[in-house]
Amino acid sequence: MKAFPLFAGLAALGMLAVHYLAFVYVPMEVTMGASQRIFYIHLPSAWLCYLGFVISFVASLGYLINRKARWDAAAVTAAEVGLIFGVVVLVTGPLWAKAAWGVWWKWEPRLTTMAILFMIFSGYRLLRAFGGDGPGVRVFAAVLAVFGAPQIYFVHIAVSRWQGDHPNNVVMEPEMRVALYSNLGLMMIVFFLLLRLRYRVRRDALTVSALKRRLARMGAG
Amino acid sequence: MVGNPASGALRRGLRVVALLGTLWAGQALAQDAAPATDAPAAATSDFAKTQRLEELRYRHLWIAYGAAWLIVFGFVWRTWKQAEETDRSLADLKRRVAEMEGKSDG
Repeated sequence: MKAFPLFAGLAALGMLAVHYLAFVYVPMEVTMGASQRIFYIHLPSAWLCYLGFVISFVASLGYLINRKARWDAAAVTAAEVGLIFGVVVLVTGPLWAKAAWGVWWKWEPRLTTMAILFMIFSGYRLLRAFGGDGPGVRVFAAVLAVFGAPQIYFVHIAVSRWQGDHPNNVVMEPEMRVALYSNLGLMMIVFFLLLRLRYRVRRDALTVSALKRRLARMGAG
Repeated sequence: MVGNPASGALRRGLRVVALLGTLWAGQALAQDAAPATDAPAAATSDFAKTQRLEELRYRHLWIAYGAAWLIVFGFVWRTWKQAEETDRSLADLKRRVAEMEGKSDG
């Protein structure tokens, strides 16, 4: 925990660097103007959202196979972090859409499938928050993640399969690539640090529960 | 939740920043829907339209980046506070278990 201020300071420095790239280094896009720069935070957030859900899928599968608590903890943690980046996608997307299309939202394939994916994992998170932490809930949640995460595939193919207005396979200038992958790099560092921190909190919370039960058995209340 | 006065003040400060940010974003977004005011001739000119569109694009750009980092670092901050609280509970419970085990041994 002592490393947190150091992490926050490094993240702030990293943010300055990637914001310089996204706002200054990359030339202004002709058709969408300044709003196109939302792309450099929108796309990496979407990728990290998928990554969180994929990790949750793998860990849930692991839990269903061997029923070890650490797999379950990893699945919950990854789903939570994935959801946070999903919120970023769903906040930045409409802001970009309003500036580019003139509307906040369109029921077009990419946006609709993304909304469904987000709702599946929101359901997963709510189940874990309010359903208790019994073995039944863990199995049910793991099954939900295993069957929910493949929705990522449908989000991915939505534009090429069903068309729609969402950009797909954008041709990028070299400067755009630099800004995009720098933003992705910084956000990925934040993603994995967050994943590690959340996992530790969840693991320690389980230890706290176990110690409370032990104390209750010992008669200390 | 146990917390020292400094962290309490910091938490209150962050809430105020989040509230002000939300109000600012709401006000800025409300401007998008605001009808054109007087000087209809100027407002309907291509230059004015382009200028309004450019302003909207920049406003949405700032809100998007501000909101994104507020969401991510708000979550990091909340997780960090939860980790501190769990650390305290864990240390307290371990101490109590050790005391109970000491009593039962004695």
